[in-house]
Amino acid sequence: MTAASLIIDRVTRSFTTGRVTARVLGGVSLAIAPGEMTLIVGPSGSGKSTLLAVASGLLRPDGGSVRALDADLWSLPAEAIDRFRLEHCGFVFQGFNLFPALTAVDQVVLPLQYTGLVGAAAYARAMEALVAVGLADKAHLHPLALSGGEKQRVAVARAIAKGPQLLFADEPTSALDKENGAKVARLLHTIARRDGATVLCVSHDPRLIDHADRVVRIEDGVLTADERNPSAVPAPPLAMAPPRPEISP
Amino acid sequence: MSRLGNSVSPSRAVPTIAVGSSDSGVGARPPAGAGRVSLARQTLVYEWRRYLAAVLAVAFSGLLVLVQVALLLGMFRTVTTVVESAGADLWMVEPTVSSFDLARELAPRVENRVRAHPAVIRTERLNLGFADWRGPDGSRVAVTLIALDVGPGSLGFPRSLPSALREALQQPGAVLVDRADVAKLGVASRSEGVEIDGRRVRVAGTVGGFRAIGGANVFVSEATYREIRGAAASRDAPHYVLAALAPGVDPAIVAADLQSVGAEMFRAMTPDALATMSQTYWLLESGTGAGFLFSTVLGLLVGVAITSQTLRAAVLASLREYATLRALGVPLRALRAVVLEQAAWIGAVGFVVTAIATALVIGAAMVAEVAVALTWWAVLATAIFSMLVSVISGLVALAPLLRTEPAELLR
Repeated sequence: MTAASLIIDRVTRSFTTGRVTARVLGGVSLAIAPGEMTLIVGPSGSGKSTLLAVASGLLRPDGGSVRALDADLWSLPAEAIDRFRLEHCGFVFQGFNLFPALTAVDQVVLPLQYTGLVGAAAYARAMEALVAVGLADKAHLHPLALSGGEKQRVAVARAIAKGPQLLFADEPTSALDKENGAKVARLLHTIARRDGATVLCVSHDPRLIDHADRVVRIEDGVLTADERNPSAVPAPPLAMAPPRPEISP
Repeated sequence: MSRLGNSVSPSRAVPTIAVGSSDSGVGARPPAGAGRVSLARQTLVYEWRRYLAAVLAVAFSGLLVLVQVALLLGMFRTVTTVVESAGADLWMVEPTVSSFDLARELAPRVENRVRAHPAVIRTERLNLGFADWRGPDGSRVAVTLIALDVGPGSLGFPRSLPSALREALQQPGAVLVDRADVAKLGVASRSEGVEIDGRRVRVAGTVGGFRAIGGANVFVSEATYREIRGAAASRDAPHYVLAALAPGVDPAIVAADLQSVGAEMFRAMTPDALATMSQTYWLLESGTGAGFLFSTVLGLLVGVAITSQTLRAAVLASLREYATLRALGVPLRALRAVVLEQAAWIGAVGFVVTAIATALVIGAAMVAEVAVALTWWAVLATAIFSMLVSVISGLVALAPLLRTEPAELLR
């Protein structure tokens, strides 16, 4: 197995509401490998989304550390964490969170612009990502003209266009029907296999389990199971993308 | 292919994978040399209905300011229309006078003193007098008499008026009134049967552009003025002495010369200087300036209130999308720039609407013979005002954005 790209070490996190303090993460440790899709499952309130937020540089833990791509994430200043996410992280959320005013291709180009990629190069990269999610012929449409499944695939394209080494997905299929959910799950799996990206997914959707290489269970803020999934549905056959230069942020 | 065999791709390429039925290839190539995606502009255009309220708020607060400025400038200009339309190069003004309409008598020897200067080729007197007008229908109006030299080559008689009107004033008892005051003075249908201070006069014609703020301006000859005033005008003391200079002489130099010999008796002023002094006095000392300032601040507050609420609602509606950009590593300042750019566009479009609306309002005012005037600096100040309204609104609307925590999306 490849060396872990994301190491979560004894992470704790509590939330305080009024006078009540609830411990959501009780010292979670987990090493996640690149090139596969790791799925964290657990009932709602188990702390799985909080774990994802801490691991991805979105939510500061109370204790413990996160080592991402050899950087001690939470020892960095806030701007450097933003920068780290800009350069290395992609996100897919349950709500598609697309801007109503932008066409599919513009949704993908927008965050690319902040990496320093602009103009025709950014459009070419965005179109590649839309081709990858099978939406090349809908690139000119606004979200209003897209189905739920198509919107989530645009969101995936937005997340993968910069070629992130870390891809985080929070309930990516929960708002989708069976067929579209399966499409998105296959996509995420393929990105891990094809690019060697570290894909970390949290969900309570059992349909995702079939596509994950590894399934970690969390309950009440502690890990209760960690299993390989030998029966994972193989990633679908790949069509080779044309070679293209690296992003230079 | 082994399951991990293709896992390391040195170029971090985006995987190409056929999903569903929409793998028909590239359907929408962007135009060559496509520019930047502007979230601010594209959102403004796509959701223009949402932003319309803000544009109109900026436009109407701008309109409020600009129309007020135009009315004030127009009103104050009526005070000095006589000065600005006269042909004199220099005006001798009693030293304590602060505005043209608040005239005081000069010493009788001022005219001789001025005429003695070698560069002065002609002098004239001008008097202002308050009087009681009684129209043919019995209407009574307080009027300002403007008593001029009505001989050939008159300096005081407005250059904008035909000399036939000047000649008409030479008849004893002849007066000229402004067209806009005809109804108020009761001479719309009759020109006879008018009395000023109990003396019978006759309306010999009407002029345009000399409407007064209150009451009415009435042009008379010096002879008619003396006739009306009787003993009160006999002291031979003019309110103003007007001077024409030889061609090519610099009025500023002559003014300085005259000043050095008569500083205690009069001030020698160019028409521009006298007009500016009078308008500034009205702006600062009359209380209208303070009232204008107050309603401008009010316009600012109303504009900011509506515009910031509109922008704020737009920010709140897209909060999750902004948070997603934050998660993807887009810095907060870039998102702030989006909102401020939208605010700036709203300000710019709002000002264009202001300009069009102002042109219509001013046009209507001119048709109605309401005194209005606009200067380039008033337009510029309003453009800055519109920008101020929108940028302050943008800053106010940023508040929810600053609280955007991408982690909130993960609950």
